[in-house]
Amino acid sequence: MSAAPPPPPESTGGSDKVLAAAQHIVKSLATSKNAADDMIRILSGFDNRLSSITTGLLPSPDLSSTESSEISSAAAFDAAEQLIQLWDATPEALVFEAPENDVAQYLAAVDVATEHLARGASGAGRAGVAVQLAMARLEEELRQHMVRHAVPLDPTGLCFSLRRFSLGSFEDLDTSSEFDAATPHSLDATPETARGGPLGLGNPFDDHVFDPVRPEAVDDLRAIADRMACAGYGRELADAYCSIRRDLQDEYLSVLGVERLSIDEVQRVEWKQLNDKMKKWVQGVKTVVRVLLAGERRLCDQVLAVSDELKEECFLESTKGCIMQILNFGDAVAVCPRSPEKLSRILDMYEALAEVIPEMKDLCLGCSGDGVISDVQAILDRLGDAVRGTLFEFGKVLQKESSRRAMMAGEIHPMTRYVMNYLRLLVVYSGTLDLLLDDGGDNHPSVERPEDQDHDPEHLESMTPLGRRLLKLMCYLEANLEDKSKLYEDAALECIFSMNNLLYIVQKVKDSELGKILGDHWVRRRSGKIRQYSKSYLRISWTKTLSYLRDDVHGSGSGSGSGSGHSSSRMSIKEKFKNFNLAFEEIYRNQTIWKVPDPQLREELKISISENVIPAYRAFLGRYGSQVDGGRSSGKYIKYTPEDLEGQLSDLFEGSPGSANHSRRRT
Amino acid sequence: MPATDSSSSSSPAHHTSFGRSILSLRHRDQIHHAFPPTPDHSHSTSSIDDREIDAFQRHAADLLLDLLPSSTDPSAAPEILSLHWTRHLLDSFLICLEEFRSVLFADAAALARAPLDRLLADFFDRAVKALDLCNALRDGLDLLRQWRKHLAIAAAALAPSRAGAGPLGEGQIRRARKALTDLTILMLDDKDAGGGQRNRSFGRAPKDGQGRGHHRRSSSGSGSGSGSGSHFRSLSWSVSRSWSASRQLQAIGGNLPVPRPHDVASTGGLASAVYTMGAVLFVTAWALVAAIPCQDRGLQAHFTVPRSGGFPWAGPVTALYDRVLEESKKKERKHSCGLLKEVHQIERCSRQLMEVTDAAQFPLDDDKEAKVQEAAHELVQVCETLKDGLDPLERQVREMFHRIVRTRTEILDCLSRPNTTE
Repeated sequence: MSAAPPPPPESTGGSDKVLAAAQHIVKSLATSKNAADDMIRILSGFDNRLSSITTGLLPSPDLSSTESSEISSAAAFDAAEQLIQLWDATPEALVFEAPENDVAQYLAAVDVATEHLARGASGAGRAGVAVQLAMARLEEELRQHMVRHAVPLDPTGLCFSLRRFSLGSFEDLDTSSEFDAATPHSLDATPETARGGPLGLGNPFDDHVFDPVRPEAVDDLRAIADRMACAGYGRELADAYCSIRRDLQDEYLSVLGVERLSIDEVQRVEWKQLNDKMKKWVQGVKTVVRVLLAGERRLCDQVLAVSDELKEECFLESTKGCIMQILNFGDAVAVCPRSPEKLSRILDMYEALAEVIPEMKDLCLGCSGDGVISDVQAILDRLGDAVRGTLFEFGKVLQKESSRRAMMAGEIHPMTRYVMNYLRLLVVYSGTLDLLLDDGGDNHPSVERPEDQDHDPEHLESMTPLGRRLLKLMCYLEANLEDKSKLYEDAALECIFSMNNLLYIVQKVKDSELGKILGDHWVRRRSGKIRQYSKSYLRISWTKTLSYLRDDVHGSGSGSGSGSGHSSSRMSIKEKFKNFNLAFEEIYRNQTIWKVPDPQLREELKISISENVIPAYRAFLGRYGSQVDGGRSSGKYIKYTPEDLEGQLSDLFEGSPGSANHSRRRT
Repeated sequence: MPATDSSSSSSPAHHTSFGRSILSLRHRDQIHHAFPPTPDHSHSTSSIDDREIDAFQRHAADLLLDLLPSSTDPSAAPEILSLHWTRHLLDSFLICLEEFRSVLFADAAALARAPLDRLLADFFDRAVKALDLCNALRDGLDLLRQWRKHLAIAAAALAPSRAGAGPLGEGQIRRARKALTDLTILMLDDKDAGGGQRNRSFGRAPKDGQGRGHHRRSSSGSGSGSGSGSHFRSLSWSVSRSWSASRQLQAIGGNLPVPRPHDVASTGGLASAVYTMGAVLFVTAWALVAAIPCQDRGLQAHFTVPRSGGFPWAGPVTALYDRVLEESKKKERKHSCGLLKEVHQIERCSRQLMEVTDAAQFPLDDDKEAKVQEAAHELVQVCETLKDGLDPLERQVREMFHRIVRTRTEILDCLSRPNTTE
């Protein structure tokens, strides 16, 4: 940086300075015929002495006369030509690395030659050559200067401000497209998405202005651009400018970690890596637009201030490749095989791109950028298609999911967890999804299931597009769970399974935005269903067991009151105690292994079992206990006190074999 | 449904030189309503009409035939591998794709059934590879545009209509020569680098005294210096460095599965349609790679259609393939960075101009001046052709990309929709 020539003083514009320098040349030439030779001699030393000499000269009074003006202008051209040729003879040297005064002299010489050529005065041939030599040099100087003063992009500074956004989202979910039970489910945490943080709050780079060229060099670049445009070398200027900017941007992109990948390659990247790349892209696209392109825009405006047309053309032309490279990955992702786990990332990409499109439009002034913008729009649309397609795919996978992995304990199926967490994540994107899923009513009414009360048309109409889709997906989930529940041979376990899963669903819905979208009605219906399952469970599981404690069964024994009757009745009572014990122990054996993970539901179930069983047992024991008690093996029949039973019931649904000693003695 | 570009000027519907039969006229009608909404599956025809599929194949054959020089009327088709011809080629491809699409959607429910699902998956695997080609070709066209800019500089410098209209001066000749020298180096670079490599030698400001190696300017002899030593080219933004058009072509056309008779029967002929589209895709991609500069061009990919298959387009596809291959073997084109006629013209034109102006004495004598003007005139013409042709061609390449993606998306949507399996 220190090698850079000091910037020209701010007070005088570049052109003023050059004009002044040109005046000096003119004046000095007018005073002496040998001045030109002298000057060349002095200049060939490439030092500052020229300025000290020329500043000592006074303006010649003859300058007002036309004749002498022509003479002096011819002489000025001679000197300018000499200077240009001199520099041309030393291709290794760079004007813009020479002392400041030399730069001014050279630019002044260029102005003189250009003007001379434009006037079409005598010696236009020579002027043409001189201008061409100067332009070729300026073109080269522009390239060199731009490279020499390029500001490297510091990715660490950017990363710091970017890190805030790179929270995870779906990586909490299984990375396989299956609903895999083996994966740990640390899922109940609030879902986070890549956009999570302060993204909506404004441009995080407001305070991060990146200038791709050091400010002190910008004036030099503009001075070159002015000369080239002025001499009619706009095409060469544009070419040099664009080619060098393109290459520098390529460097920046690789610093930012934006890789150049073909679509075909992206198709073959494993999900884990693709996930990383997608995350990087979401940051990358914002950085590219807000930092890189904004910087290019400023540079373009500053350097090519001479022509609006050039400004536009060069900005578009020089950034086209960079934009294409960024966009290409969007395309590659959009055509990737559809799988549910990509959804959140694709949504992140969609939202990032949608967010920067207006900014890109602002960067491309006028309508010249329409082509680029429509390309970007096309990719945005394709990402939108990919979102829709992925959701279709999710629905399909959900319908077809048919893992036969037995849920031995009747607990929450991994699929339920996966789907619910997935749907909760979707809600985070509800704004975007409502937009993408809005097909203006429903194009596919056949998908609806009219038999389901949730789907009455009025209710559907009142829902958001995402709500309708969620309802449909919920419907698939419930249908799938119902199929799975049918796999249980034990109808009571089927109830427990359904209850567990439905409760999980309801809880997940209630404590998230899902609740608002699906509505109270939806939740109430599921809560009602859970109560029904709980009743069914009690009936299926306990009716038979409780039947042993019922009087009417005893009453049906051979008449009471008679002695023989008494005896047979005693047998029957014993039998009943025995049968009850057996039935209870079987339930205990089975249902301690069953699992109801929700503590409240578990307690409620136990309470309702207790409420049914304990009083009945207590009454039965009170009434008939004495008949059995005191007998030889009364412990065989009256194994449990009501308190024992109560204690054993508390072991149910804990998902581990009970600790109770079945042959526990009465205390 | 997004249909933003279906109305662009490159839409095949506006091409009038196609469609000879009543059948194809009907097809053009369909195409005119490019991309109607996805057909409603609920009332699709119960079975696919065999005749539809035959018609599709025959029309594909006709379209390809139109691209071949006609023996009876040599002026009928545009000169092979010209810009104009290449645009024709793309139009034909787009028409075929559109018809393919409507043939498929005639019975959307059938798409999910084996073996058609498998055949379609294979086709779209190949089509996705063509997407990279489209991108590489777009970059190649961009390169042509860069070349044209240099030509335009030279053309403008030598333009007879320049103000003042005096004889050409040394400055103008030098300016033109510099532009052409830069151009030649650009074109050579692309050949040497296999098209893809970019010189990444900076990004760091060179230290004092270093990094000056680039700075080679010479003003004597060859006219004003060219800074080409420091031209850093950006050829392709869309594909990785290791990407190869040649390999991609092999992936698109290699082992294109010829449908087995029972597959044809069980799919109601759709298997043949998929094969047809696969072949058209390949031959189109292959000819485009032949014509347009792109990374690691190579035409080694072999392609044959079984003669016994009874495919009406087998002849035209093979003829087209052979014709382009023949062109690529011509001596003067062998080392070209693209078989496009205009690329050849660029090379020839700039070489001529360089020769004519080499070591010229100024002012130019009348003879020389006339020669320069003649060469410059040709230069202007090439410039004009490129100027008019490149943008539409690029749009068509983009269109090819869009339509492949869109067709694929539609098919996938169709397969994903739960109700199609019910």
